[in-house]
Amino acid sequence: MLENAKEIIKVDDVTYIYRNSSDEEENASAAKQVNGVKGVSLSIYEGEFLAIVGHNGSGKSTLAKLLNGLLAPQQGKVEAFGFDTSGKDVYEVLRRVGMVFQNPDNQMVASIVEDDVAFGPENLGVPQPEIVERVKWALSAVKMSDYADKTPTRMSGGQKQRVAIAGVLALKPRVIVLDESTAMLDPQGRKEVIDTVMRLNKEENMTIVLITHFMDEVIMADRVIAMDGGRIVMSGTPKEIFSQEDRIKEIGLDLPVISTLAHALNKRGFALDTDIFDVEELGEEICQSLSKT
Amino acid sequence: MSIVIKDLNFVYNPKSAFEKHALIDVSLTVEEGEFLAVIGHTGSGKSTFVQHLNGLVKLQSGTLIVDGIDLSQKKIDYKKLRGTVGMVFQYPEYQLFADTVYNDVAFGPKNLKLPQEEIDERVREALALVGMDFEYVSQKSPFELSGGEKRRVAIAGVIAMRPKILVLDEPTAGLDPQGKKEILDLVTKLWKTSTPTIVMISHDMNEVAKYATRVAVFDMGRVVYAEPPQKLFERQDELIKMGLDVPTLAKLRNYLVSRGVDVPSDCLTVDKMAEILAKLKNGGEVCSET
Repeated sequence: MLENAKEIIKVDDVTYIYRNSSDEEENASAAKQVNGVKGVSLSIYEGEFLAIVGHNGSGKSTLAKLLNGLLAPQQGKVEAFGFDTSGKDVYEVLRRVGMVFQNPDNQMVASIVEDDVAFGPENLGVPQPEIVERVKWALSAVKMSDYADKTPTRMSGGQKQRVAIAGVLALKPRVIVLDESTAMLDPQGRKEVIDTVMRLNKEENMTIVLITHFMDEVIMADRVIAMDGGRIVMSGTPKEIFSQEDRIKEIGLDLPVISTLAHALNKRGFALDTDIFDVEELGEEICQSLSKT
Repeated sequence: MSIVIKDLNFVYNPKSAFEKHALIDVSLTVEEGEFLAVIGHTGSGKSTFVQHLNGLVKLQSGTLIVDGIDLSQKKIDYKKLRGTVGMVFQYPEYQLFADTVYNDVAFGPKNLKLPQEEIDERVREALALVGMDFEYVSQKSPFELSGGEKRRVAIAGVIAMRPKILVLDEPTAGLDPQGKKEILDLVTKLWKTSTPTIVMISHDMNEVAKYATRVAVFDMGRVVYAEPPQKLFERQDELIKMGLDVPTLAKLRNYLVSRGVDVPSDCLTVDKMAEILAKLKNGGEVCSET
């Protein structure tokens, strides 16, 4: 997979630990737990769909913020498109690596959808006719063109997040990082957002970094990284990751229900593929193994 | 009977361009001891419905009796009502405000003008119920706690009022799998020990299937179904048409049934499903050809 792909972001032995004055007096056991990331190395390749999973406090959001220079590493180095994220070139990085956050309501700056999407390019000094074009393109890419002159306040969470993605797209980034952008949405809204980023990944060859704790969202990813205690503890394709049920549970995550069932059935004498994620496919396999006996 | 609702109607912004019928002829009875899940698409009326239960929204038409308090009367004892119905909103940790956890949890009982000893007793009891160590946490600022801990402290503030009915609006939203499980185990514990009736809004069908005794489905302001989860989730096509999902295991069960495998509808946990299928395998079940 992606063997010839170009490395666009390189995270090299990076440490970032939050310092909180009241924390320093905390007991020794708390000191063992890293609040942030420690010694993380990671390469991100052009056009890939990378998912980062981990429980709350595992360091996944910290890693996300290091990718576009919102945080500068305390040790180690992050390079994006050849620019050092901790130096004066951080603006070059921010242009190329866009970020969508968790709460849709915190990301709206204007009262009309198209103004909101235009905010980024306006700040970059993009000429007016091009802004109009970019806004139009960005809104159609997230299927929100019909809402261009509407106000975000009356929209659903999923719609707002798609507008937020359009706002990032209007900057013409090469990478979009979604930091738990589906956590506050209902199932319908989550599906809208995931479908949107999948389409951008496939049709626009946009590099996607999706940070989530919903395991069913990472099934479509090219590569999955699991974090625990500020470190990368697992890495592989979704199939490789989901075959390790015990390890996944150990780091406080859950397998998709369908995989959990396949594992449970295999313990009871079935011999099912544990890398099936589709209900009907598994149902079919179960039927076949039932009729064999 | 805990809650009796008959022909409840509610209109937002009546007689204006923004008029919206949020609830239409809703009738529902919730018995003491039920764990009722409320599900529905965004805008289906479920939040408006639960806001009626402790009088946050004024009754417009219909009958609503909550633990003997008739909300269609002119004079309503709101203090009593809100002591009876505890309400845990979405992201309740955003409502923490006091300087210490103790003061935050004590806020409700203090407003009831209870004697200090009883306030103290209630705070200790509530924090113990949500699984927080009183000595460790009571004098801390709530803002020093982790997200999951804050949410539990916020729930303790509601529990300290000793409600008979606990209403929760998506209590697991935004939590990781471990945090979700902790909160749902906590709600189940409260249901079994201190608060006999639970009404919980949820979007997570796997969660609903596992924890609720009955599910009320809202669609365009109406209650379209109110029945046990195993019965409800046989209606896969109808639910999907309403923009709702069906738990993964119910989908699998429905698929297997369509292929002629006799799986009972109450197989809504992985263990139960695995057990039944293993039994079928040993009994030599054969699928019908499609």
